[in-house]
Amino acid sequence: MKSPQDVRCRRPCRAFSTLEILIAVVLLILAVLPMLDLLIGAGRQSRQTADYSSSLSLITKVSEELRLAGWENPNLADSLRRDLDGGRASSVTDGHSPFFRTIEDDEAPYGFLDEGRDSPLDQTYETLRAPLKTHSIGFSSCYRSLPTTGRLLEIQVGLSWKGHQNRLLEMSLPVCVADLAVRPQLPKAIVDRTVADGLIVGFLYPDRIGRTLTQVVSEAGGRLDLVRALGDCLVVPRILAVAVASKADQIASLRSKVSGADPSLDRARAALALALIFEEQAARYLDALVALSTPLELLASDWTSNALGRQIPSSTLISSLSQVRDLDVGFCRCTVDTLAAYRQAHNQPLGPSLSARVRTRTLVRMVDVLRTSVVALKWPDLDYLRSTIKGFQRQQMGCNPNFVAWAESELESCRDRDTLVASSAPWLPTAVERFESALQAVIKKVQTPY
Amino acid sequence: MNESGGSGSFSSAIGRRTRRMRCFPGRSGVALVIVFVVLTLLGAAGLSVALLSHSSYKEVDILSLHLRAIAVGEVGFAEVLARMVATGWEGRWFRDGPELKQDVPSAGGTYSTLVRDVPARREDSQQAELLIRAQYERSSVVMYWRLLFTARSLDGRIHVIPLMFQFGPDDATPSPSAVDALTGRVDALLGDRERNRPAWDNLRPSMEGVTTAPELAGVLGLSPAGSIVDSVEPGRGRAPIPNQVPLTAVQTADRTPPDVFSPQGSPPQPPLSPPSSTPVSSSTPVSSETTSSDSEASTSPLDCGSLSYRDCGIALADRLDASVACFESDTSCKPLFTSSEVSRFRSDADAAKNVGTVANSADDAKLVQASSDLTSIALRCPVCQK
Repeated sequence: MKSPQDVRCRRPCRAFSTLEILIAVVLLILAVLPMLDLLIGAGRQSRQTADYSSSLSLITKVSEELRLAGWENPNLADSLRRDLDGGRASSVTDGHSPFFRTIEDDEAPYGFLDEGRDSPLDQTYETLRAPLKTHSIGFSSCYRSLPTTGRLLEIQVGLSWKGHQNRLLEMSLPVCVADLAVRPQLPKAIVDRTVADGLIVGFLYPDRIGRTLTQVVSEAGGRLDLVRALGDCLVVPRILAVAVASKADQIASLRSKVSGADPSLDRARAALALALIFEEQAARYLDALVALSTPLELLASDWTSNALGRQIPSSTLISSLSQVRDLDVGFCRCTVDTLAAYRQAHNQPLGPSLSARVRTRTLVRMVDVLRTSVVALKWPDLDYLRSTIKGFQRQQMGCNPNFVAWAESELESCRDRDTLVASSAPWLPTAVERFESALQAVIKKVQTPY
Repeated sequence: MNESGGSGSFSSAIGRRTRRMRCFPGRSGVALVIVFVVLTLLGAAGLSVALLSHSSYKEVDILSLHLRAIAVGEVGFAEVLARMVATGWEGRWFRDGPELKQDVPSAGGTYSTLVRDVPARREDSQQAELLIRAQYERSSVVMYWRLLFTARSLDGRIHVIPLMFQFGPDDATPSPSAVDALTGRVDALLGDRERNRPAWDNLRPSMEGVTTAPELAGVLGLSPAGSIVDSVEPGRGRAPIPNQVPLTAVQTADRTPPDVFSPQGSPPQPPLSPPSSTPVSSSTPVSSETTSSDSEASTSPLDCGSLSYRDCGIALADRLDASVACFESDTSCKPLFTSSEVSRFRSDADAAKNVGTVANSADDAKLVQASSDLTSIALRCPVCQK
């Protein structure tokens, strides 16, 4: 006989057990499915993060190298166009991209990263290569002029890779490099017009010192632009002569130090200091040549005997202008001295005592001065220039890719005189000629009886 | 029948027991509980995985934003630099006073700049300073440059040279007061550089042609106990990179460490360093871990004299404490150390004070750390160079 308890609990217990399992299974399915999705999603996100992270490392490395190249290679824009195949993306593996041609100095001679000998990111380093197989890096660059003054080279670095389900992913980073090329500056003496005008009054109207040039010229009935043009031609050479003379003692002392018995490093530094002084003087002379060409041309075209509002004997004018003539001689002399001092600082026996970076910089400056002399002064030193650059390029192979790229661009631009002239600043090839012809015209005009 | 009856009563007895067991109150809903527990565990694991992967993603994102903020700042620097190169020192636009530019949009972010002549300097020093605060979405970065305008030359470029670069404090804004705080620090660093130049000039010739870490260590007067092993594995099919140049303590014992900092004309004393707990033969290849700690230890050869290991640690800690106390009281040195560095020095001193009586690698590391702190204090703060 069944107890009442058995009768009470049989059906509910069985029904509840089945239901319980059913609910459990349904619950499990319902919960595990999104959980699986969550886990798969987390795995995917983790892979994406790893991809993103390595891409970030790659793009940062390239950006940093470009910024450094902006300092070390003045011809960066040309190098980018040449090396990067017009900006087309190239794979970071197997040595396709110039930024990843060698990743480890694993072949003798050690201490040099030799493309073709040392390994790129290829099968040798499969663990590193495998996750980066689909990564490609590309560039676009353009110059942008600033609203004030100056110019930037804007480079957009783009990296693309295949992510989950072969989706193409991209990342980009802008890199800006200042255009460090320098344009000619107005001589310091005539930057500040008020000061320059005061000096002109002193030279041309010594009896009116204390009054402004505008007042003086208007009272005398002269032409302000012509007075300023003539005045600048008189002021600039005088101030330059004073500046050059003020360095005479320093130059003499440095010269004696270079030829003295001090340690090599001190003598090399003295030679370098000497070169910098001469180079600065040459640059000032060149700036003056360029800056005075325009007023000289104005004088050559518009000069009249009453331009000043007062008569000045032509002999006085000619003797004053003869100081202007000294400018191109001064430029030539300083350039010769600069090159001699740089050579002394760079070459044996003094050169090796300088640090590698300073010595390299010395050579780069020497090349720049040589270029200027070949272009502006028409010196026949093109072969010497090319052999200097070639020697430097050989020396830098495997050491500094920016210097190698710089040398390559320089050699390309020094192929012949025409190429060199075309690659120079547009004002440079004609700077001396323009100055000389304008000066001759002014002297001729002043000598001509009115 | 009996049998079957017997059997029936037996099976009904089993059935009753089973039913009773099924109806046992503790067993009801137990599957649901298990499922619930499993689900909770699965949920927690899933959530952890999701959180971890999300946080790693977030970290990479933060890094990316930081790098982009730096890129924005670099654009600002390039713009200012290009303008400086074009104008030259005489034509600089900030000669009459600092120039402040706020929130200039660039490269997807914004930057603010402050540029000015370095105060209290002669006109012919031709130095300017530039502070840039760059912002990219949530990330911001402060950068400071000390710039030197070089003399006019025929060299067609680089007439402005960065003498010094530093990241500024995160909360700094481009304002004269914020730049003032950095000016003194950078002046001190530039002074150090000038004072160190003669020592560096003496050192440089012997470093020419040196291409391996052990050789370099030898030139610098360090004495790693054993060979330094290149930890980069050679690629597949490539020969090992021969970088295991043995350099014993005996070989370098005669090399005097270079005088890298002696502004007052007094030669610096090498700080204490701990003894190597295990003598390593120069010919014995050592793991990179050991090598690293040994080479650290050898950066400043130990001279504990007759002190025991523990006393040596205490002496080191005392020196460190004295140095910290010194630069905290010295106005010229105090700004050279951040508060986090000070607390690190203190905790390193405490750690060195508590080393055991017998040498072991853990205590060696503590002493190496304290010794390295002393070196960094000596290099930065000549006054407190004990």
